[in-house]
Amino acid sequence: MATIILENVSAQFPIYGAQQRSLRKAIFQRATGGSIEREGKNGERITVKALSDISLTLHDGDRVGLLGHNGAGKSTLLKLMAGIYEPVSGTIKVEGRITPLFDTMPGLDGEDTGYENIITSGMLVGMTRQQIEAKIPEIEEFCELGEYLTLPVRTYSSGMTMRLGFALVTAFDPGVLLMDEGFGTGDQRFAERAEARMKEFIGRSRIMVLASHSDTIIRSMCNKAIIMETGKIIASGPVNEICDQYYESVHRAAVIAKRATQLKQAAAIAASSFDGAEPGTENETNEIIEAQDKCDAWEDAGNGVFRLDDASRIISGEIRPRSLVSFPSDMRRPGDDVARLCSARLLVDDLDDLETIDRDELICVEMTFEVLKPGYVLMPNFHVFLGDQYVFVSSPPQISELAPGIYNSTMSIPRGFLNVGFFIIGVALTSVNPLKVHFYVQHALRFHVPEKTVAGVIKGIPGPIRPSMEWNVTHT
Amino acid sequence: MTIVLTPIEDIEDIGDTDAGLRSLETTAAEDLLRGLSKRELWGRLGWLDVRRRYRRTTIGPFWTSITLAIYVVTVGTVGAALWHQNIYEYLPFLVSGMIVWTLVSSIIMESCNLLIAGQSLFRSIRFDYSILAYALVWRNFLVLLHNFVVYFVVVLALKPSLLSFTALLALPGLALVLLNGVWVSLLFGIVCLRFRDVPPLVSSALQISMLITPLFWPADTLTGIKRFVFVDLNPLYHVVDVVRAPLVGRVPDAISYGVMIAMTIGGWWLTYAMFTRFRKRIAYWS
Repeated sequence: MATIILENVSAQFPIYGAQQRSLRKAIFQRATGGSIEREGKNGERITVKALSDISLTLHDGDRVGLLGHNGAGKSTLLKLMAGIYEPVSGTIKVEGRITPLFDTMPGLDGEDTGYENIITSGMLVGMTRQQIEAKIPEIEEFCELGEYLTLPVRTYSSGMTMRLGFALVTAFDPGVLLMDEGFGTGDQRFAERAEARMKEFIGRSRIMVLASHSDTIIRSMCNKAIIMETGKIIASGPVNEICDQYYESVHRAAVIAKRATQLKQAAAIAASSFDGAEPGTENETNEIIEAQDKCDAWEDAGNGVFRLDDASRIISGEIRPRSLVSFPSDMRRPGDDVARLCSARLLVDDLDDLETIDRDELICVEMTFEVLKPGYVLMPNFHVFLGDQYVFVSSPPQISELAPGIYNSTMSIPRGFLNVGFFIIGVALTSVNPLKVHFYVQHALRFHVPEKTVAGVIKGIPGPIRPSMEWNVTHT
Repeated sequence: MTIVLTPIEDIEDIGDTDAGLRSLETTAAEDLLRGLSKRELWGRLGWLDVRRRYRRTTIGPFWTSITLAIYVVTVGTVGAALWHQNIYEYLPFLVSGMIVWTLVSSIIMESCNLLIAGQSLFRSIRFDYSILAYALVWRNFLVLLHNFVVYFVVVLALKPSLLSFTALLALPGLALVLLNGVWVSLLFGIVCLRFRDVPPLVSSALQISMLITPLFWPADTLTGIKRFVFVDLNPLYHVVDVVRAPLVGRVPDAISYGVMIAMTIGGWWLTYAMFTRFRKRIAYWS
């Protein structure tokens, strides 16, 4: 039976500056009282709060993954569980032997031989000499160092040292196993044997806690997971649920940033093709800001970008086809003070099924927008994606200054132009000179183009588009 | 496996029902006692430290003895002339004083580095800090045994009559010195880990103490107020003398024992208080 109970555990690290740690300063603060004390009050107690208010209970059979970015407090939490740091406040109670795997061989000394180091390290982790000596044949056999064990460890390669440490630590009863992901195992062939032994070792452990920033590792080795951020537990539960959440939070930012870059590049290219305007240098420094003005139907991601769905849903693939978005005049429409989007829709001959569109259909994409301010040269544009992949951006060949009012613009995708797949269209309005995005509604329209099941046609033709080209095959 | 981790509501319940649960917090007393009980471990750590110093040398540990022997013979010859001493009296006096001084000064010097050097250990595993102190004292005791060879050689050559029952009185004295060595190691170890200016301070203080403590010159060469300041008020004199006096055929003064016992009690009390208060912080300071 093994248990770990943490109750309201906090830990903070004092940071001592160069002048701060000195005895002189401590004495002088006492001696001079008031004036320096003020400096001391502000400057002296610089602490990094590594963990705050962690409560957690682990029982037999728990395989817990600690997920989080660098500095989230994973390692500190492990070290507290190992009893290396004592909590500044709160209590930790444990039952069972604890095996921390942070350092391959505690107390390793290069001058001592392999055998001597086995004994020293074994004793340091709490074994008696008899217990260690009983395990020596097993360690010898597993680490395959042979004669080297009688030589000083400084003559070993780093891989050999690691093998020795690994063989030693896995020889004992793990109890509660605390691991940081960087626990490596040397060369390839050994790594394979080590993996098997490690699996067996983890299998023997009552509780395992593994810190990692890879959700893949955690998924493969754990049954529970915890997400940590700035020293707090922000989520905990079954491994898949938590790993999904972590994956989303990590990848969401990356995807938004990537989209924004693509949009800017596309808009800049489209704009410069009209009148040679300098691609938007003024916008480059702007960043996509997380949604702040969240309404029911859409969220403003900043910089003219609007999202209709939760980004997490898009990433996790829970998206459905959508042939119409419309923003009635009584609700706030996406856009700025110059222009706003009223609606966007797909138009095909076969109106019955707008979710699945035949690739031989003529696909019309229509957007209706309202111009509020005069004096802008406005360019409506559609951004077509196949899944995550940019297919093309299209805008009208002629643009002009538009007076206030409601405008309708349509783009037609030729028959047989698109390949098969799930297509996504973003709807945008940009003004040129100066370049400005008034709105860009991501994922506005979505539809599926299926492969036609005709006998004899090759399946799985790659590429986002499949336009029919002019061909000549002649016999010479 | 769909067990949701839940923050626990009342710890008392769990604590009562589960007898095997233990707190990871270690008190100062637990640290000191559990550390002492791991005799095998600190014995090994101390012994390996001594051995490492002489790895790959031919005459090994006796290098310290030889260095001491050369030192004592040269300085002794000069000193005997300088302080008008009888060489048969002066050399045993110098050698026994130096043996004890080597023990005392290296314990003090090394204790400054006790926790700074031990970081790699206690930052990778849970550790009783006192083990490091026991290992340090044990290591210096082993060096002392090597140096005693020089004492026996010198005494057998010059004044064999010193090897009497009085010399055995050195043992309780030595025990007192070692007992003090443990608290000194821990206390200095803690202070030096936190305030890194202390080690150089201690080092220069030791250099000066070596000259103002009666090691090269007999305490009786000073009289009056000077003797009172440099001998009677100098704790290092008493530390050295409880071991040295029996080795040169004299029973140590009662006052020396008194000072030693007072230092043992006072030092341990202070160290225990410091250790209780700051033990928790040691890992954070490193």
